[in-house]
Amino acid sequence: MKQEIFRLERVTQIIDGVTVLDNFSMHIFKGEIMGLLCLNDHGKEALIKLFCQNVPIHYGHVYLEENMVNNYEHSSMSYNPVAVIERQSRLVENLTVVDNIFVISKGFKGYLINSNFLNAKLKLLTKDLNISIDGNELVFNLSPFEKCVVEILKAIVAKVKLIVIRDISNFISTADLKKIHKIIRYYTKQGISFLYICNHHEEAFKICDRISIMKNGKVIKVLNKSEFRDEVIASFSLDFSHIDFPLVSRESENGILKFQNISTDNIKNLSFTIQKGECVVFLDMNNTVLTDFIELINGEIKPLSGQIFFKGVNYTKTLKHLKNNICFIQENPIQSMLFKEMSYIDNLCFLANKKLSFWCPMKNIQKSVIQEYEKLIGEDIYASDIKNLTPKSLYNLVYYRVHLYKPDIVILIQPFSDADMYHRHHLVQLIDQLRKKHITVIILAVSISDCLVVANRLMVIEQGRLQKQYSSEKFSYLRANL
Amino acid sequence: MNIENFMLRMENRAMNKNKYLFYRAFYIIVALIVLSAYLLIFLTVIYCNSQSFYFLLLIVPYFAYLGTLYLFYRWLFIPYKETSKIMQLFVKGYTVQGMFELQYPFSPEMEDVINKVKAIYNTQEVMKATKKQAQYLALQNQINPHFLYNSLEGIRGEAILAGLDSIAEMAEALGKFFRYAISNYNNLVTLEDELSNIEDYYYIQQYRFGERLSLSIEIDSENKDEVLKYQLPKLTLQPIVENAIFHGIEKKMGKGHVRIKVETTPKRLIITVSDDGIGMKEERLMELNEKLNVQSFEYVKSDDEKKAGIAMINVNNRIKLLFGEQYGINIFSTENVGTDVEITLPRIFRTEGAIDETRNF
Repeated sequence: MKQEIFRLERVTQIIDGVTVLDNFSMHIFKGEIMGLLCLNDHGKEALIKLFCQNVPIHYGHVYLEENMVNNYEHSSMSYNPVAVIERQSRLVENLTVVDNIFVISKGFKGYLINSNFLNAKLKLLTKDLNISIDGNELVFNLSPFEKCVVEILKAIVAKVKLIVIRDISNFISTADLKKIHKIIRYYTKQGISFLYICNHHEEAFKICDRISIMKNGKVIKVLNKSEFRDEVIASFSLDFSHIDFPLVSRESENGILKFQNISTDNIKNLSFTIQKGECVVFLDMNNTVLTDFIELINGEIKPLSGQIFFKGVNYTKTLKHLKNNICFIQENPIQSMLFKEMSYIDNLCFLANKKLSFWCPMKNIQKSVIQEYEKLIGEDIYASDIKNLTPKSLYNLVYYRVHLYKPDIVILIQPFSDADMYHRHHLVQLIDQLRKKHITVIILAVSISDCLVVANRLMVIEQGRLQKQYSSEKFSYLRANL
Repeated sequence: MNIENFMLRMENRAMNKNKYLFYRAFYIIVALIVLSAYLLIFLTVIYCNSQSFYFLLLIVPYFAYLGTLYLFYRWLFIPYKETSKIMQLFVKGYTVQGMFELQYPFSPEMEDVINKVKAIYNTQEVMKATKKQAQYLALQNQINPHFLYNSLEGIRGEAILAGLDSIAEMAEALGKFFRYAISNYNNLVTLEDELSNIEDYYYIQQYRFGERLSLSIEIDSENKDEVLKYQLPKLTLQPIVENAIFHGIEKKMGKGHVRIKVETTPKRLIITVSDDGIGMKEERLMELNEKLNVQSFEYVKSDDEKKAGIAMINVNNRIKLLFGEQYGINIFSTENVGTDVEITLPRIFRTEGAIDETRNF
């Protein structure tokens, strides 16, 4: 007989007049990996909070091990034995691994801390997982994968009943994700339940026992393992089919960007050529190379060996002049790349100002930008305060700013991470807009996400080396195997 | 209830606040709190100016004042909010049980009023009405079921004599189906009986749908024999399967599949009836889920010709009346994908007559 760990029964939660959870029902069994595929972000945050704490709800019941812990009549505000693992680590960075796992734990009652004893306990925990983590290492020095493992171990030591894994593929590499899946499977055999929240069904299919599909704060379908098929999901997702863009110029030897035997601390003898107008994805399987790549382009580091050519010119030597032709769009750009105190149009023209001469009257330029971009952006272009705009409008702002600036190359860092299906669909359209303007697009990613939808070519980098290259014709094979 | 009338009533209420005793009491309490605070501050200022040590004595009233405020919050404000919320949910139809099990009634008289309402509500009568409705929906046109059953037995006999096995089998299935619907209506039945009735029903429908319709039953438990002995209200599954066939699969091009999945936990029996039919529109799903959440028996006397969904509401209401509002039906549906109906019941492994023990009110 299955043991039920958590059950949310017809939960409706209203926050500030907005129904964040609407008649939401879900049950999770002991030792089960329940997937939660969120078609949009509506209600996701509230749901995670509700799992962790018995906060007031408008209607419904919440059961923990079949005992009612929260209902519409009375919410105790008590905490449930639930751990959440997400991008923002909940570990104390300045403490060691063993301190985080054992000492900052509810059950720890000792007055003297014997680090040898704690290290031995850690070894016992990690022995079966085939993972080695130095217990005396500061959490600050750990990789995102190691932090995840430490958080899982901390949750196990704290005897939680449910571990919520939230959008993990956004911040750990594909190779590490496989290891995390192994760990999750190991602990499900020990009776721990997992709620695996992600945006991509391909990812959820690989690990989950059942999947609930959530849209606008309500479950619209629960899929059993026998229903884990692309055609079943297709009914719920938007159409991501896409028209391939032909290359604007003939393939040349130097292309627009060429790396010739480049080596840095993490990059090993990397060589490739990117043609003008191409869209190339760099998939960093171990999440070690991307930082070096960005720093090389920014001129923050110099290659230990090899040369970079931009439009056939040595890039490192003429960096000052060429750097302005390459733009970056950072990860989660609506949080990190906008000036909240500036108006929409000021934000939009922010990069373009670089190209204008001092004597150009700004008002006239903004007027003509509005004339050109209003049909693409809509009424939001007149917004004086961007804080209240929708994420879609803010993504428009980030991407059309680059569109207006028209660099030769735009480098997108993990463009699809943290975006729900609707936003990802919109981002694909925005990347298309950049490509229509013949801007070369380079996508740096640690997980494949929807990158292949827009790409002409995929380069897989493993342990700092370029392992494989795939052209768009081979993407369907890749989707099934990566 | 008409939402416009409700809003109008809310507006009138806001305009005539002084009519309600609660607001009068609230104004007086707030006035007393403000006055006490003012007196305390006044005394503090006087003692401070007189520079005597007597002002230390004011610590006691300060603590008493803060204690009273805390008591006001814990003993009055929070219980009032809870009671008020349950009453609002009762008015909107979300809960009936909550109202009858009110933890903090406003006064003993109010408690008596609630008990009186509970007696008037007379759940037995409502139960009878829903049972009749279920019977009606199951038999569709019950003029004389015993006569019908006997006639079917006659047809079966004649068919066997004539060597028409398929007619005999169909007549037998029909007879079994009707007999199940008519007999022992007041009792809980075993899951085995209920599933057997579904198989009969499926057999009958196969004559119409042929290979277009398929049915599978999955029992997700190591001890299947024990699960089959669990009890549930009679005719819980048949109306749901009927809905799946007629509102899901019949309108779909090509083959359709109905799957019944049974899962158990130490306290619950979870049955999911899924079909891969045409599903339903979001508005229709919302409407149906709203009816499933709101406990109302309006549908019993409804002459509305649009019967789809009534059977489901009936089953849901019967479950809620028998076992409490934490049990019942959940529907998940997507247009052109299919519908899942999840029925949650308590795990009952008892003999007949258990129905009264499990009633909540």
